[in-house]
Amino acid sequence: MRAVRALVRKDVLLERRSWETLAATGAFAFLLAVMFHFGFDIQGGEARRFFPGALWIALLFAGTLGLAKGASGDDAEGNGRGLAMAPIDRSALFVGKFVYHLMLMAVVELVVVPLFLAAFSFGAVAWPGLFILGLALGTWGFVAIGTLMATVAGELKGAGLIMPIIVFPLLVPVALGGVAVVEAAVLGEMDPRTMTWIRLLVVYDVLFTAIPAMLYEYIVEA
Amino acid sequence: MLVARGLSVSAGRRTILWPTDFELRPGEWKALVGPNGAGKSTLLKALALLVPFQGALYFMGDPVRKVESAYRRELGVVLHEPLVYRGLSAWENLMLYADLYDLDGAEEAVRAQLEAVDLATFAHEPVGRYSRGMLQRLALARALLHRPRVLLLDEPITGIDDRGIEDAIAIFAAAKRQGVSALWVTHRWDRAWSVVDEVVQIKGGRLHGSVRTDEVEKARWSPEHAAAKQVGIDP
Repeated sequence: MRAVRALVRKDVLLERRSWETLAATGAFAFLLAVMFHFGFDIQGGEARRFFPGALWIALLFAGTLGLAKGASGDDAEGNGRGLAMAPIDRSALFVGKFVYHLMLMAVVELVVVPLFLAAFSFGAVAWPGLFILGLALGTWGFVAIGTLMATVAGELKGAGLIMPIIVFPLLVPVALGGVAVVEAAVLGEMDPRTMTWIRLLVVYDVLFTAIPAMLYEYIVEA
Repeated sequence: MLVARGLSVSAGRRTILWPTDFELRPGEWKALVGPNGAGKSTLLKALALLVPFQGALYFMGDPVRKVESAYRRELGVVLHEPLVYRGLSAWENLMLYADLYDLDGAEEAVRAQLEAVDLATFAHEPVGRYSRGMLQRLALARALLHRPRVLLLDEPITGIDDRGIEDAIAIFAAAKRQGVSALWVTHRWDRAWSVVDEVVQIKGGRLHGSVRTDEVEKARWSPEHAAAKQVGIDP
């Protein structure tokens, strides 16, 4: 736990000093909100149906940008080696980065969600609790997969280019589930498929958090 | 303390380090010298478990694979890169490593190391503003912070001014008196001479003999001397 705390604190301190990742991620998400607002003239009920997909596209695109930067930060200065030499369980490296990325995405969502709600201007979300649950489950899965794939991509040339290509295919269930749950929350229409998506998201989140934590040692060394 | 048997490193089909036997006894310091591309840093990185290798590596008689965490705990490594975060201060960098090495009395240990390398005054400055020499001093502090029993040093005094070199050598001498062992990769074997017990030459990925510093006069030593000695010629 001490190592995980130290790793998270390190990343938070670095971000607080530079604001590099948050500024890039937030600006990108803001631009997407503006483009959606002016690019599609959608009002009322249509806006409610369009909103979940648009929101998740923005979160996944902007988040991928942030995760790629967050993971490459250690290697850019050769510090990945310093961490690799420390006598800590390799899973601590994954958990530390995962927690930091979760915090990063939470901050991004605090900015992006109100922005999108304002851009689509359809009033209040019908079921706020379900809305938050859908966002939380989708974000958890995205961050778990993204953290793992950012590490894999970080070992390759052109990591920034490769990252979206390897991460998005794995994100399909998260994106579909996230959109379905958020849509149900926005519309206030829950059907049996919504529960199926919630269960699928929980299973996906657990799997993609546990497996990388266990296999991270081999991934880092490969 | 540290024994390598048939240690080799390859990159694809190219062999960078041919099967090598190497030993470091408790309290023993060895300098590893050789031209660029000879395999000095590769051997050091293999011993630091930073590159995949073939062969066997033992620490205190145990295969390193079995005692990997304990081995890492006892290693202090200085590489070409200082392995510190430019956006953090020296204090924050060392506190990070103190936590990663689960050190008791972390603040005391960090303060002592910063004083030892003469960086206490700049402890809270962002490391990004440090000169090359200051970064190298910080790298030394990082490597020594957790009181390792084995030091693996790759050009540890490069970029440091004369006074800093004297300080670093004094730190090394003190560590040696406390029983710390070290492999010191260097181009400047004359700088290492006062601390090391043996100078080992490496060329083309193969060890090419060695000399004990207590056996020869510093002025007489040269790579040719080592090579001649290996083939039985008294140089």
